Amino acid sequence: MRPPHYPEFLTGEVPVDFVEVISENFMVAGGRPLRTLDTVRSHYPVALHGVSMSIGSADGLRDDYLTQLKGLADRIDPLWVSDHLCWTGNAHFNSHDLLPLPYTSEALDVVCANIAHAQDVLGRALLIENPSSYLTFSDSEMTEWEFIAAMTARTGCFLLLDINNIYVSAQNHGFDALAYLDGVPVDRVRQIHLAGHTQGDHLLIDTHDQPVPDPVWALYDIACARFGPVATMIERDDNIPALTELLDELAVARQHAHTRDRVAA
Amino acid sequence: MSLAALQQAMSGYLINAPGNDFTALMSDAPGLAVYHNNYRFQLLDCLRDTYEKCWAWLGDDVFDSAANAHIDQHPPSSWTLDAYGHDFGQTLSALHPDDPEVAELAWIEWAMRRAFDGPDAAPIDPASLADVDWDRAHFDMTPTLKLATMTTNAAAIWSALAGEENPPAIGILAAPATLCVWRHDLSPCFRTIDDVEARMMRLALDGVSFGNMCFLLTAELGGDDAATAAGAVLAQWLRDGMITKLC
Repeated sequence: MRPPHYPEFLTGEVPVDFVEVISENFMVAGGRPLRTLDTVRSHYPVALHGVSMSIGSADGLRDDYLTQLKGLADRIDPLWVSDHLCWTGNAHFNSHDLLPLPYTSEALDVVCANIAHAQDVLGRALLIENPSSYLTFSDSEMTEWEFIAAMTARTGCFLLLDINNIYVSAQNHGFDALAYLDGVPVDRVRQIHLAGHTQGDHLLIDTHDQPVPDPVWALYDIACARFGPVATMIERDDNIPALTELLDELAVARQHAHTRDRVAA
Repeated sequence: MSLAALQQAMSGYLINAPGNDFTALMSDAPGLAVYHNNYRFQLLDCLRDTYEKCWAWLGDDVFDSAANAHIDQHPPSSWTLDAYGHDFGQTLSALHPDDPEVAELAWIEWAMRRAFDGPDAAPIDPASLADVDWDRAHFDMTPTLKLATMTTNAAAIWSALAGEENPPAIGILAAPATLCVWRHDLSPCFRTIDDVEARMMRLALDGVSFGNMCFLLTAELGGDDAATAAGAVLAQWLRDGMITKLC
């Protein structure tokens, strides 16, 4: 749910099954944001999707962040709480970007310890989303999907699978997107994101500002066949169109998922 | 390289621009540039959004130059982007020492932004005031209330820009004036207040009782004038939803 669409969601008449919001937009003291969220919550189940937990930070998590997130979660009783497999900064700096991790055993230890701490504070299992990335580290000892599989096994967390991010990273780093899907533990996937991207000078850029392109729909079909019925959301971060346009795109997603269900059955 | 060392090095790269030690560790230059551009653009976008009236007043080139100088000197540390730019007014003041309206415009924008999502506090119901012991009454003012001294017509410039009208030329006030910013229900607002109201508001925020406020005003204005002025200010605060508790 993005600000241009708040008035429509406040009516409770938008035909969606649930609403996802950026947690940090509502981790505020009061005023219109929380009033809006309370009203929307009275109409729809709400998923909290964060961008600032910095689950891969070697400095650990910020307690003030977790405390405020728990306060918001207690207030709205979300479907689930998610954030990204990334780091955003250290104890004295925050980039406000989703920065990539090396997939090493040390990073796995850090990520798992941070997830365990967050889950303890929040009193619920987290969903962790795969990010798109623009560089890799020679230190990496495993693939991203191997890292994710180990992470879920050790922490009991679930996954928010961003199909566009898999596609973008596969194109940028030359790995097989199908191998990625095959490596993701089926029983851990709770939500799927669909989005678009932009071709940069050298890399695909995860701009989330375009309609879902055909290659991402194709990958979504395969994901639906593998993971079964999973809550799916169309995600736009910029170039936000009219809500009707996104609802049309959601109808396409429903058609894809329905087709795959019948094929899988 | 440990994860902590890698994150420290990449943070330094983002803050200090390409060319530091981290670049030498990475062979994937186009990817690094994406992160560097994302970092700086996000902060620039944040400052443009928070200080959109300053942006409109200064124009793209001058505003972006100030924003980039701020980004160079003030890497973000908070987990929330909302906190970024709290000190941008100081950067503008240092860069535009002969244009005091710029920093004053920035103060209004920051105070309005913070009032927007500041703490909730319901105003008192005027109908509940019948039994108040006014002599000993202390005010709890709405927590979003902030005061600043203005030397220019920055408030008029802000209002014109908000209304998409041509802003007035910069004007220096005949005497400094107090501006108060607060949120009334869900709407941030501001108004310029006279010296008597400013004095009462500062006393109220300092926890001085209404009786003592009137005593101090009487010494300055004389008995009848003080009582009339204090009554008018109190009525205005009630209309503006500024008082959240009387105790």
